[in-house]
Amino acid sequence: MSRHLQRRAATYLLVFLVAVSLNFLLPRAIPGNPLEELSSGLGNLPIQLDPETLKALQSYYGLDRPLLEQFRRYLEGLVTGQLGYSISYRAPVNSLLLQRFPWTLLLTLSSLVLSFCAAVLLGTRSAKRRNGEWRVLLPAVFFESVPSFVLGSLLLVLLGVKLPLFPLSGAYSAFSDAEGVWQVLDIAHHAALPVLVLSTSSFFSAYLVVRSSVLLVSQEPYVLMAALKGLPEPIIRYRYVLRTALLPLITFFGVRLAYSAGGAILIEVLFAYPGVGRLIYEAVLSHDYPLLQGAFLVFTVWIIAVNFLTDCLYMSLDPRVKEV
Amino acid sequence: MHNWKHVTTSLWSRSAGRVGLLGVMGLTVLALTSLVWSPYPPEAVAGASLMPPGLLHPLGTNGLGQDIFSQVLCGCRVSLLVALTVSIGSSSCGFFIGAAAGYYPRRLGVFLMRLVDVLMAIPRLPMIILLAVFLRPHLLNVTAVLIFLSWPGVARTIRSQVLALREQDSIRFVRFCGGGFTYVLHRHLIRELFPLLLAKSAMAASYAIVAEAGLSFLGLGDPTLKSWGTMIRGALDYPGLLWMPAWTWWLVPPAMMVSLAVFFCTLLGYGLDEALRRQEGE
Repeated sequence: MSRHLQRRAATYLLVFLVAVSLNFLLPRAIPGNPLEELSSGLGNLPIQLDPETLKALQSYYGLDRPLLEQFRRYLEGLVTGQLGYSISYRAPVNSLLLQRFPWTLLLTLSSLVLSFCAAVLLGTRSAKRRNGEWRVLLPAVFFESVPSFVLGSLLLVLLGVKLPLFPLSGAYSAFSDAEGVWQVLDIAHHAALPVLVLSTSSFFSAYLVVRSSVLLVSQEPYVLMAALKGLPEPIIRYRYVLRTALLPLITFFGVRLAYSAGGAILIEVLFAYPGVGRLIYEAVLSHDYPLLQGAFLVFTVWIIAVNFLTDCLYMSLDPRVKEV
Repeated sequence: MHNWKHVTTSLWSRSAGRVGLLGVMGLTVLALTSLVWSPYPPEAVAGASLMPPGLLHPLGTNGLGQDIFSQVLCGCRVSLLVALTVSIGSSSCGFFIGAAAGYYPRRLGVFLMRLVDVLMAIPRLPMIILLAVFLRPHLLNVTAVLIFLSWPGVARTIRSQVLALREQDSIRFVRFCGGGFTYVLHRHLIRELFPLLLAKSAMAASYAIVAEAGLSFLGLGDPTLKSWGTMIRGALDYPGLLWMPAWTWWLVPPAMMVSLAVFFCTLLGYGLDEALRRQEGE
């Protein structure tokens, strides 16, 4: 590993440590506590736990130990891959996260790939001239400005209710025994609306980045040289300009990929989509410490891993970085 | 040293800057109006529930019979207040920390930049949600959380600028004559970097508006204030609203206002950025 990558790795390790400690401390500082929530949870039957049961539960979840010891147990659990036991779901956090993470991944990956393909295609094509660029840019900036949950709620009304094309919530039809292709289609049908929302809101910023990057590269002397040699326009556009212009996009894509998983929380809540984002929201509402920690950890590890992979990829594609 | 007149005329000469500036001014006027006058108090039951727009209620009423126009006005005040505070807070924090990191690049700079790296790699929205829950829902706390999470980006930009500026002959001469960090900061760096800081704070403002609306949408904003996010959530939570015509006057106005506010702030930021780059190009 080169020095540059080693330094990045050290930073990410530090981030991980900070995140783990924050992760441990913050939920415990949140007002309210999970046992209270258990004993008089909203919507459930108001059950009053007697003091002895409360004590037993406290020691069962390790909540009566000193903070440092709880932290030690938490770290030990992390090392062995145990994230604890969810208080509200009464299930291991590991398996809950494993159930939910693929759904988040499905949403973010497909929306990112969609929006980037569209952005690269349209961005290279529209970046031919600079005159009248505000006719293109003003609408793009406007749609970039619409927050994803606002766009989501409007599309929910238009495409879910007015034209009932898509289901309003969930990730698959309940109680259906569809199998094989039909099951895949059912999942795609449910994912379509959230993916459409997420990809529309990331399309416009990707489009703006592609466009400015392509415009910048088009002014390089070697592109002029290629044009003077008489190479056909598509070859110049895709083989000469786009290859160089895609480099900054890799970082942009990486950053987007890293943060969009967390950014999808609002959309998952809006469409009641069973991803990690909705899980974190539910965990906040029910003061479920282990679940909250687990979900937060998943987001952090995801960000670190994607960022590090982006760095590696960038290094292998752009040799100029090595000299820094 | 920037020529102020030049920056402002070049901001005005491009449509982006002009639309952004006019839009932000318009929103400010709306917010100020709501301080002294609104048709009804935003929480008061002013008529029958779900009344369509008419003479009495310009944008109709919501499920509780509250006047939507008054709520939109009030929401404008909340959003702009958050945007203004967050942009001032995060750009001044980012400026001082970034300038210090650029001016003392050895130890302090390395330490501060590590801090920035760490803060920027933490998942933002989950962190905002966690902090918002932890700090109890109050507008002040929402603002503080947003400042805490948005200064690192500003600091990083400012640091790279200061790193270059401190090696300029004029500033090297000032340092040689005995000018310390605070002197260089207020005599040179602030003047040199102020337009850049303005562009950054316009961007921070648009981020703050989105984040505040998102938090209120999740029900984690200030429950005592009617903000646009709260209105959107209220509309979506109302049973069966989406199947009634009422969504057009209950859901659409706050949705449009959030988007427009973000749009104007972003445009203002782009416009300032471009005006600045053109001046440097000359």
